[in-house]
Amino acid sequence: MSSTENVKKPVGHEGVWAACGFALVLLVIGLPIWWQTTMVYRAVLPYAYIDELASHKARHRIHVKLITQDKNGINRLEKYLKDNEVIKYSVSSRLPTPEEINTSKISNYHELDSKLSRLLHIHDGALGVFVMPLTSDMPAVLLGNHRTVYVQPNISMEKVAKILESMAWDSSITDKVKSKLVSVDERKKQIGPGVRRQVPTEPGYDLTLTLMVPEPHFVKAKWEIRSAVEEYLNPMLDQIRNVADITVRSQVLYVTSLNIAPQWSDSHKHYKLPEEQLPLTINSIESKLGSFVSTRPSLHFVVYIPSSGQSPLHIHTQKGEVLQTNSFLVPRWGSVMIHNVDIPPYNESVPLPIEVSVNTYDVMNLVVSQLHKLLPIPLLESDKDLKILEPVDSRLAGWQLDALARARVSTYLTNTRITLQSLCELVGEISNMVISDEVGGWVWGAVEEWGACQTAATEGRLLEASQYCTEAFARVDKAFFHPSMLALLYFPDNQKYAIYVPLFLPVSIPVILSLRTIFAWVKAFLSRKEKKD
Amino acid sequence: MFVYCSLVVFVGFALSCVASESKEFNTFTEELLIRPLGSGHVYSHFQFMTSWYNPGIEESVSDYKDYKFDHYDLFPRALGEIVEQYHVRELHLSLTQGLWRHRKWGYPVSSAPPGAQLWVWFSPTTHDIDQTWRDLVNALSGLFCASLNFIDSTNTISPELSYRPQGIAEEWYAKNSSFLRYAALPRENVCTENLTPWKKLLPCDTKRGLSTLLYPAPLYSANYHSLAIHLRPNIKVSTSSSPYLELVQSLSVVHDPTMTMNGHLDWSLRHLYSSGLFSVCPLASSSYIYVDISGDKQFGSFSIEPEPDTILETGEGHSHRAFAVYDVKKGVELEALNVHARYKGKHVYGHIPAPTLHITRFITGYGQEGGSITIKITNAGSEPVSAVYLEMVPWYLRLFLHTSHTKHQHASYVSKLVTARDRERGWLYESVVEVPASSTIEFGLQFSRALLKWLEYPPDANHGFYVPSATVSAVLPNPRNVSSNNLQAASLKEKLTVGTGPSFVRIHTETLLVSLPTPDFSMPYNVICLACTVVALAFGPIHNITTKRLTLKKLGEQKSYIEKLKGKLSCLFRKKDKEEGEEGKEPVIVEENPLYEDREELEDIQEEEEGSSDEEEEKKKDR
Repeated sequence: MSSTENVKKPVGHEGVWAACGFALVLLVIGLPIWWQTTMVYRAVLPYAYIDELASHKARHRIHVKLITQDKNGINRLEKYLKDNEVIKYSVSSRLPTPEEINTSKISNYHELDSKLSRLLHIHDGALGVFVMPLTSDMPAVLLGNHRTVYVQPNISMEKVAKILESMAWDSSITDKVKSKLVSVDERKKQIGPGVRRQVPTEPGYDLTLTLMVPEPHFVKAKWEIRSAVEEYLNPMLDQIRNVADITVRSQVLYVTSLNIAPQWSDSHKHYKLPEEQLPLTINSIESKLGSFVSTRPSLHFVVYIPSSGQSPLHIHTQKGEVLQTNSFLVPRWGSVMIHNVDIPPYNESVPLPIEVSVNTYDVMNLVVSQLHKLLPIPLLESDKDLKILEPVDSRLAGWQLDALARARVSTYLTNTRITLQSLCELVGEISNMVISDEVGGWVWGAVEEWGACQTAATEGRLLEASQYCTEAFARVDKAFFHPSMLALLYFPDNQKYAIYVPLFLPVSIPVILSLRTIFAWVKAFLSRKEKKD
Repeated sequence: MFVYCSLVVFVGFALSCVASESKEFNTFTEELLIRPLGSGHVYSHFQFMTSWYNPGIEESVSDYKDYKFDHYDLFPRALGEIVEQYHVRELHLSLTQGLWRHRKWGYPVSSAPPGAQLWVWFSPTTHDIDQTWRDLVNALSGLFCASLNFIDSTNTISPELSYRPQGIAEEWYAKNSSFLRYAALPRENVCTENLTPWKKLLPCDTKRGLSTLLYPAPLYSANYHSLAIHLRPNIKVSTSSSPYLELVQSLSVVHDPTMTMNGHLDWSLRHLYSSGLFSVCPLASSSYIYVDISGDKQFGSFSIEPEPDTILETGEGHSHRAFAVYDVKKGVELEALNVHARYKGKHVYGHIPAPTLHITRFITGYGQEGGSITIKITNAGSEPVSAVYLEMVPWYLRLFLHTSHTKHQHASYVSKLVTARDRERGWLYESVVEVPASSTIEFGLQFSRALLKWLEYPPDANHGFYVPSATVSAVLPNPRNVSSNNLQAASLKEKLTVGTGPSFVRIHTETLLVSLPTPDFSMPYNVICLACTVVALAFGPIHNITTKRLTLKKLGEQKSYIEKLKGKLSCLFRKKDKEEGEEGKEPVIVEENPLYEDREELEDIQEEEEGSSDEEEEKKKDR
């Protein structure tokens, strides 16, 4: 290989140094500049912290305060009160004070409840069990309007524990939390109807009451909606304002009818609307119900006055029975109520339109009860042992508010975790995604609030947990749906190659090839050195 | 000097003496004006008005607070929510296709420039008006399916005099233009997609009443078409009652029946709208059709069927107007109402006397560097007229005011001037000019064209850039050719009852199309490719020269080219077989040549040989 030597010799020191220089400039200056200028900006996200928080399962702590003269009461109650996957109970017990004993002698239940609960002072998120010092003619268990259950001394603690459990947690919600974890196919089977009809958990809702008058030339409907809302809805909405902010609006839609085809039923002397038709009815009015301002989920309650050709109209169940409420619930959307009015047969002497007034009491009662189902607010059924104190003007009891808040905290926790995890996953999978400082800030904030919420929930501070969670959810939602996340998502790869290839290929190939020469030279230099040695 | 400015605004009510009525009222009226024009066109103006009063609205209006609507009846909730959320006090939106030719057609009931126009007076409680305005235009573009979202700070202005509140407002508010935002999009196309949401705001939708006439096909084949929404707080003229909220939805159409009727001006509802009127909106408290017969109240040249219910005649001289009135509520009880006009002969196209004030505006100049906007204002009346001229020019046309020139000396002063800032805001030029009696004044605004960044060009950049209409607001001495001079009037009937005396008119001029220097848009990519290739081509030889050295070598025996190749290939293969060892590079055999210039050539030969040997190797592999 004498010819090889011939070539090698001429490559002197200068040539090698020049090749080194090129390689250095390209690798030390060119490469980092290229990297820096084409890098997608990504703020640092707290991946580890998110994983840690996600693995940690928060359980609500509920302090149960037992006021009894029986010292073994606490042990018995603790025995029956079983912790489940979302709730942990901690029971404390004390003796009633003489003042409380005196107060408990009041026979009026409402007065008893209000006075005693003031004395007992059960704070938010806790429950109280007051064992009556003396047997009286009261029902075995009296459920107050606040957070206290009044029980007779002879009642078994097992029953008390059962009531407490259903007060603390609506079992249908457990399904909801679980349902987020199972795959879509399994979901359909597992979730009960109760979960599916609940509205998505968000900080606020728009509630719209719509009166539909398809034939305003026959019927002139009057509804005192302003006073009805103030009287029936507002007391309850004010109560849950801390948990869910609901704004109420009402509107009247004229000359618009529901998309239905009822049949005349001779036996009932009315038009019957079979249950199968219900899912399609609201399609025709959807376009008139939307809002161009709010992005909050909306709840619609539609009161429909049937047209003269379809009146009176009643909903029939699948079994053929007439539905008493004459209304139906549309899951996650709201409800439709059919409100029949008496339209006398056409008569020249009767001036049209006929004025009718909508019975707001009936309407509002339905709205309130359906709102309970949609939110959802747990309800307990009275039976022979259990008496539930009637609420004052549609207000919710303290324990109902707590249960609602607790359920929402759980859903928020799950939602925040899922959103954060999918955000991390998405960011990991798609390297083109920009994470601006703004998004990063929201994620950090959300994680912080999330942690605070978990701590508050496990310590039983329900009100704080609710606030932290709402904030965490709002922030993570903002981060996830921030438009900057999608800014570079559709930058196609082939454009990159089209720009880089004409420059990088011809420049880097000679430089890389010259590396070979450099290595050969270095090798030769080293071997020469060895020889010398 | 110009006292008339205060005429633009009417502050004709006392807020203090408002007796609050606890009653709430909601009324809806629908009216239609049909006016045959001298040019052989027929102008129709639909007006649907919803008025709403409740104590909350009264309080908001008189205390300049945000509206609070909770319970809607006839007023559309979709719009109400927007008004409430974005602190709107007064809102005027128009979507127009075509240009209103006021030179031939006179002054319309409500004037609108081609494209989209939006002007809003915000309530003084608004915290950040610019942000609110941005949010508002987005919400409105959603509501009306229009591209109002293209309104940004570059095409928004707050003119001082031209757009004063139309509703009730005290002087301190009306004179504070910082509450006003005005924007125009001259390129906006108006079509069915805008009409449908507009119709949805009507309480009867399009199922009953006058709105059943609004089929899209005949509307959009018309010469001029303008959809509008005007929301303002108003007060009843006659009674000193409480202020209420007034929403006027109007639609103006100009048809040309002579085109299809063989030169006759005959028109009918069925002909113009492809449908007669079958029903009346049960929610409307009144429903009227007015046919303008001012020029011919004896029905000398044409007759209308059916017989009008009444003839409404008001004013004298310039303010004389006569209308044939149809009460639709009575009219459609038995059969469909189809108002029909028959003319005795073919339409005679003659000279139409011009209205008192008319304006033309056009671009002058040549080339791609500069140009000038020239405005000609003609006053055909016998008294001098002062007019407010408002020009909104995009920032990429850079105005030179020191060279703004006038043909004839006339009194004028610039009332407001906002200079443009690149990519941030446009020009606002508002001046008051006095036009002497029976004369034309001409003035021009010179500009130079800016170069845009390549991403700032719109699609189809060679089409050109639109400059929105200029607005001329003036108070004419008499109501000649004026459709309405009662600014406070709510119903169309009140509007059409023209009073004698000064009349306020607003005229929108033509939009302008300016072409900017447009680059070749594939250029950046070409530049990248070319620059890279040049760099690569230059780099290769430089690299070679600096890293390799040419040496002289003795020639061996002459071999043929093929033999050389063979030798090289066998050399390479031997190297492959060995897998290691010394580099198997075939020495380059170079002829002795001391000349420096030939070095490169030699290098090239070397490279070529290397390249060809590689190719050969591949070929062999394939075999």
